[in-house]
Amino acid sequence: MCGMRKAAVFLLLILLVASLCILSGCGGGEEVGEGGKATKEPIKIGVILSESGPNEPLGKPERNAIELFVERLNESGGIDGHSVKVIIKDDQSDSNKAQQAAIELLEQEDVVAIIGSSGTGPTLAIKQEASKRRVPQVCMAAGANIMEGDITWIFRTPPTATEAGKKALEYISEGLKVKRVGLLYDTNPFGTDGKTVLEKLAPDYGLEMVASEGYQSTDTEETIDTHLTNVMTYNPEVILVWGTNPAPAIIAKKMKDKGIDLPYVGSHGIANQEFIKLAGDAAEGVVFPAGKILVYEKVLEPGSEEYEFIREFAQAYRSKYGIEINTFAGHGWDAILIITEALKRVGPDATPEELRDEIERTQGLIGADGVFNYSPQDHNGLSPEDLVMVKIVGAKWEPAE
Amino acid sequence: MREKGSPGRPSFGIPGSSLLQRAASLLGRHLIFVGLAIFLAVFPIWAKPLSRPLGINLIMVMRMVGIYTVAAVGLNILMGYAGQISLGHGAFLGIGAYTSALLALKAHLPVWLSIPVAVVVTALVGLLVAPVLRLKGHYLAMATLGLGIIFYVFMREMTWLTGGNNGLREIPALSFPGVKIGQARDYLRAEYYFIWTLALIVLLLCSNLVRSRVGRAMRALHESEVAANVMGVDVSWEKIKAFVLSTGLAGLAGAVFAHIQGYIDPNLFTITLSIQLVTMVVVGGMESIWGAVAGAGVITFIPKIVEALPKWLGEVPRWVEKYSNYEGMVFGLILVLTMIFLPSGITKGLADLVRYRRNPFVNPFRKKAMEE
Amino acid sequence: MLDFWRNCPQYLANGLANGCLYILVAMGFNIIYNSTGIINFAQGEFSMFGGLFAYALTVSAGLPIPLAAILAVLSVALLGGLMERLIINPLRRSSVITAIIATIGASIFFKSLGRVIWPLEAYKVPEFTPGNISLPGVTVSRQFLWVFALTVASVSLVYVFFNRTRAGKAMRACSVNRQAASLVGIDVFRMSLYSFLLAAALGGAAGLISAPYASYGMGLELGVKGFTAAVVGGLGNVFGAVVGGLVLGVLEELIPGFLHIVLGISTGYKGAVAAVILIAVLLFRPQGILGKGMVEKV
Repeated sequence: MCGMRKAAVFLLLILLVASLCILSGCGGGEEVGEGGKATKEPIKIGVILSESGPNEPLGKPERNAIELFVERLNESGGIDGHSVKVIIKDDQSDSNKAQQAAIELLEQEDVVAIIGSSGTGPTLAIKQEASKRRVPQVCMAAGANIMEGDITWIFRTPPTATEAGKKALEYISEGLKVKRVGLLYDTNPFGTDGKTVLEKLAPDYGLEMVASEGYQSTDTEETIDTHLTNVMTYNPEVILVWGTNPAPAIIAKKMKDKGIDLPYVGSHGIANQEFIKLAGDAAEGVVFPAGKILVYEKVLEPGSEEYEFIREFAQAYRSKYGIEINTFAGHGWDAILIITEALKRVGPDATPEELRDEIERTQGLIGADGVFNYSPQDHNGLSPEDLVMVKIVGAKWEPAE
Repeated sequence: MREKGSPGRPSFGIPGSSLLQRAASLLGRHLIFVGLAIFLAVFPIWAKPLSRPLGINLIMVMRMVGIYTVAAVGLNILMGYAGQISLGHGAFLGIGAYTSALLALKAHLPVWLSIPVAVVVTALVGLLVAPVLRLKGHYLAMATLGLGIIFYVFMREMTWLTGGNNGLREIPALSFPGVKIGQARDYLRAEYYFIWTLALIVLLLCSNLVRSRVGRAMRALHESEVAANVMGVDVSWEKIKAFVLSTGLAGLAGAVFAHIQGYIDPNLFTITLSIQLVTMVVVGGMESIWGAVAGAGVITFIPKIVEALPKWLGEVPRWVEKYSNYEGMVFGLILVLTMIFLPSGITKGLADLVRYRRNPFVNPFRKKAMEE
Repeated sequence: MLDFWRNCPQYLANGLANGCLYILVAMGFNIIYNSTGIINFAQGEFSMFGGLFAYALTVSAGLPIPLAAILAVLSVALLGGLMERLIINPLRRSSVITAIIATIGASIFFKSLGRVIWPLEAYKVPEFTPGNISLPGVTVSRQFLWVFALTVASVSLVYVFFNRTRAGKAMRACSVNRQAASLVGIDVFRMSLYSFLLAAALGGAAGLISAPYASYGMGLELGVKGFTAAVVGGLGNVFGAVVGGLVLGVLEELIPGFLHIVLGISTGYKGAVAAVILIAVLLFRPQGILGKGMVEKV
């Protein structure tokens, strides 16, 4: 005990002395790195993604796309001879970790912009820091409430839950011509966000939400069946499912098993091959809203600018990772595209403020998710026309009528 | 119990009267406290220039360590001194965070008022669920785990109040009349000082508490509830006191957290957080208040250090970069290995090393051989 | 209200199927508790491995389903044995809190390990026999028959083991009085190993029948529900688990149905049903509905 105390006192003394030395000597030290910007230094962009946790299926393709984009950009000479360097951090789908990552990127790495994050919660946590420190942020999350409050510093690439919801409801009322909707939603952030939007919008399309039933992501097949039974009690004319895998696949399978012959409309959360794999035959005929990226070969005119853009992206992605692009890869691709295009216009030495103003002036920029038009009032960029309804036919995606 | 009685091995460094020993221990106690206070006061001075080359934002991380310390000290008293386990403390942080945030957002209460109210509310909720303390051991563990699940579901489903999964946005930053902590230019440092002042006060009060009659009574029931009862300790009342104290401190940690985070959602306060807090207490050492500081520090810094490794070593193997993917494996291993080899935690283990000059890693097989 | 009654057969069938799952997990809890006095918080993770091993053996390795099922259960049992030797055995003289924390550590480790190897949200294990059976008011998948048969078979096997074999009888002796059992020459520590092998195998079987969908995240929830089933049936009462599992399974389907259709409350609250039942039973009838529970109270 005695020895330990002595050691502690000694250690403290050393610390005190060291602190004093630093205090007296650190005056001019910090600025050295800053002056060197002119000598073709890399431009640093911070990226915060959910590569683990519940948002993992979103974060992984987003990372792939961003890394691929930067690799290609730097090979073709970067921006005015400056290469672009992305610093990627994983927020584990946790808003506290996202906030910490944002502080680190802004304080330690002097990034000019932040991309992130994949989910709504972490995005809102980053928004707080980025606005406080006045650095532009481009997010890849769909939550409607991201664009509430002060939107000066935040921009978005994916279609919002509102737009996807509008598209789905429009399809139900005009394509299917039915009225009674039975909603099944996941109680995770993705599902509850959709539920809020859908319940609010349904009357505008003359639809009646006869049942809205929340299930848990971890529910067993039988429990999901109970929820489906509850919804069926209200005699819906269409089943609307808002959630991420695997539950939507289980619902499709259960509907087929029980001979429920109602149209199944899903969310953009099932715009991936996993859904088809999990649901098997039951995936047949399922319709959901998604970006044109999934069916670009069928809905876009070959040779048009948009078509060529997506085709090039799809080929590069396939040759590097050996897998097909999906919606989330598109969100990541667009996020880095928007920032680098603005940087090209305003010049590589731009301050974060200048960069933000330039992003806001983005007009008619063709991306993987659609055509981006930002304005001081609208930081969402896309319009509902950039979404299409996709139908699964023969385990393939086809545009729905 | 331990090797106190074994021949040729003095149990204390200073032989002499018990009075001397008591004076020394009194001084020692304050020395640790004063030392920690001085260390924390000068920390930002050298942390700032060191953060960049290290690749770890030391002040930001220490700020979180401070918050976890407050919660871990409470849990430490419950687990280490009163011998009761709780796997639901993450939810109590959540209750504190939501109460304070809602009071500030909806009732427009100033932050310096909403935090104490949140502490009281959380402690009251703790008192309300205190009947589960009638359960022991595994049953208590599972019951508190259940409580955590119930609170989580309610935080998520009561959308009219909590906003559900959409969370609460734009929670006012920390501020006091005249002092705007969260809006300062260097707000991280201001928050750091505020949080650690709070944490040190909590540490001082709690270290006095565990040495008082209350603390002795609590420790008695950790050793044997029956014996404590026989000696006139009101066992269930002591347990409730420890539980309410620990939930109040969890509420305090949660409330401060809400105001430095600015955005909260239910997914921050799940079982993962509860287990993280238990890990901090266990790794730091269950029967030492100071262990909570060490545990909170170690557990918070591990992922940051792994993340900074590429900066120190240049190229690192791909699996090091993908650390967050198997963080759970690392923490699981830490828990299991601590329990097997260092059951009294790192602070006690290291103190034993100095005191007895022996291996702090109790070899479980040798220990058994000795006991048999 | 009428609608609720009309749906009841379906609720009961679904509850029965989930109940089978809980029975197997709860029996695992009981067996380990009886021979070691420990609640194994990693019990749910055994089920996770059961499901994911079955996926790996059928889909990735292409084995026929019956062989894959047996191999999956055996590998999970092996994992359980390994856990006993490496974690539980060194801690056999430690306090309850120490043991709880060590098994929690093991569960975190297992979950993370599962995630590293099988990172997707879900894997589809082929059904034993696809298709479904329709009766008036009820539709269940054919898999349900297998679930039921496997559960009955497992419960009977455990019954035979405890009543007819030497090892089983020795384990029962341990559960009555460990010290006395050790005095009459029973190797208490070997019994601890056996109990983990058996419990892990049962957990693995539960994971197998909870297919067709398996994921790394399913352990915790299944663990809490299995423990609830064990408590409802009376902790330590191996066959009380059968009653506990069925009661919990059925209640869990009936309550949200009732909440939604009759009272109009959001079914999102359903996630708390098992936890509320657990705490209520622990506080008001700690010995379980069948008795023989041994919750210590002061």
